[in-house]
Amino acid sequence: MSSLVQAQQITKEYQTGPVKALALQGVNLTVSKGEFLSIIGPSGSGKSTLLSVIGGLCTPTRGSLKVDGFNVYDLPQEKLADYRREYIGFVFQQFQLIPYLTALENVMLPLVAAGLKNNQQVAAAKEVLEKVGLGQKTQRLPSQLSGGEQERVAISRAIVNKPPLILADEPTGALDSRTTEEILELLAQLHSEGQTIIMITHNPKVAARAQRIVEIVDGKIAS
Amino acid sequence: MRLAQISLNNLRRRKAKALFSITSLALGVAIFVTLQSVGNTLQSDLAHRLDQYGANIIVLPKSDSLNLSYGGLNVGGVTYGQQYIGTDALSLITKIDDAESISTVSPKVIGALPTEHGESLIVGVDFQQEFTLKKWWSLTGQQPQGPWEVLLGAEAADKMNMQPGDTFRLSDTNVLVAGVLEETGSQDDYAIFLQLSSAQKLLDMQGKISLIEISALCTTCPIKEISDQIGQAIPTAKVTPLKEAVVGRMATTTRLATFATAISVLVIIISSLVVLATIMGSVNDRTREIGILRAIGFRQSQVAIIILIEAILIGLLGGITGMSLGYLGYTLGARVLTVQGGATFSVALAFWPIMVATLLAILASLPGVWKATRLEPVEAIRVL
Repeated sequence: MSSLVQAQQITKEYQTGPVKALALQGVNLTVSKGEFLSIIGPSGSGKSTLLSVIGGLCTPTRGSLKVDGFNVYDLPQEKLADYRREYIGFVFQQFQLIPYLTALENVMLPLVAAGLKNNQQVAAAKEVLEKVGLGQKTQRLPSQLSGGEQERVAISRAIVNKPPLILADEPTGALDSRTTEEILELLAQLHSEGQTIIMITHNPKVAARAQRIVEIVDGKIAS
Repeated sequence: MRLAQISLNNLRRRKAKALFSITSLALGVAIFVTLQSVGNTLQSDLAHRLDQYGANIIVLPKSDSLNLSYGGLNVGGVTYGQQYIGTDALSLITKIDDAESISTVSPKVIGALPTEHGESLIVGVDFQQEFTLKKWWSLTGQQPQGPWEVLLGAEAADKMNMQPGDTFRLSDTNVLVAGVLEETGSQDDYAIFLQLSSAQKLLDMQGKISLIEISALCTTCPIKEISDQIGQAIPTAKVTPLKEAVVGRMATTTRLATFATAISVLVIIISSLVVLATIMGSVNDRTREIGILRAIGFRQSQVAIIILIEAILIGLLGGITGMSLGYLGYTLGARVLTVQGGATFSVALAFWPIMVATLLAILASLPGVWKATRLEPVEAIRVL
């Protein structure tokens, strides 16, 4: 299987006043197309930073990141935004939905950024909301949805523009066990359809649903 | 969905903050519009009223005389040249470039004639123009109508012991006292006024005028230009602008306008600071939201457009509301102050505050736009 992500010697330093903190230290990671990968590790180990670097959200201090063959951080700022829109589907912790937009409008956002026509945005957003079982709740605001439903909206937003890679940061961290199972089933379904997924989790049981598990400790790949 | 829809939805969600910004702008614009329009109207009204107080240009015959008078005491003088202006000068004055700025032209012929009470000062006037020029004149009896009806100054009437309805001989002509002026404290108190043509006949000065008093509208100052134009039209005349009167009028009206502008600018500055604080605060509150948009692929320019559309909407709504309130304030103000000279509320006065309000809102949002678009998305979200 060909590789989709190639992270080489990724180092990320944070400067807080005179103190320099190393979040990532020379991380090498390759993710194949269609792979479902879990990244585990204790709090502060650097796993979220790695996901941010792969997602084009955070420029590494050193090292290179190649996605689909091109070097992501060689792109200018506006092209980096295009990379996030076309290649990455983010599922954030705490859902991160825009509170004043309906479920449908939240899912439409990546398509607005892409400049699609309104009818195309609505059709695509409705299709994915149907797929995650929220076809009847498209006009609800996030505050009118349960945690599990908000997570489904977040996943819908991540997949609506059919990105090659989904990055999920603790997607089940705020959910009860039944809803966690539903979300994992949804991710598994997406993976079975050929979707590449990188998921961060604290929970070993959740991590076990992936094909491969990578552990990060103190900014380095431990296993 | 378009970018503007996101801006609109955000404003709807943050109704209180949006309303606060709009109200701040609206109040600033309303006070600005009210003060400016009422100030302009008052300025024009004041100019209109001041223009009613006498002549501000005197046209005299050119002569080489040396005037020997001081404090009203005339000790004579030596005259070498012409002592009158032709009546054709009146039509020439009406043809100058700025003729429409002239409100009153009052010609006079002046001389001395014998009466039963001795030699008297005779002033031939066009009564209609004279009464327009001298709004402060107050009389008992009535304004002279016929050619041999006269108006007496208070001192002259007292000295001659005359009242309205009495008659006396002026030179060899019987004249009727139509009215007596109340005391003015000027030379008018000693004069006998009669129709210009009658005085010309009695003084044997047909077709001649001793001087012309002109009142030009102060709103179209400078008087100097009008004086120069009259001087060119009547080369035989010496045209003197009464600078003190003009400068005084201008100074009063200018001070009024400056005061209104100063208050308006102060209000706009305070209003701008409030809007700046509110919009900047609003953008700061939305840092995380902006981070989410950036993370899911919105370009910096798209995020900037969303924030700017919000600012423009706030600015336009604030500007239009303020302009409407300002017009209301102006209408009430003009009514309370019972001004003359008509309304001066103009489209330009309404247009500029709306533009300024919109620009202010945009300027207020720029620091936030700069910060929001320059932040790395991960910093903005502070989650990943």
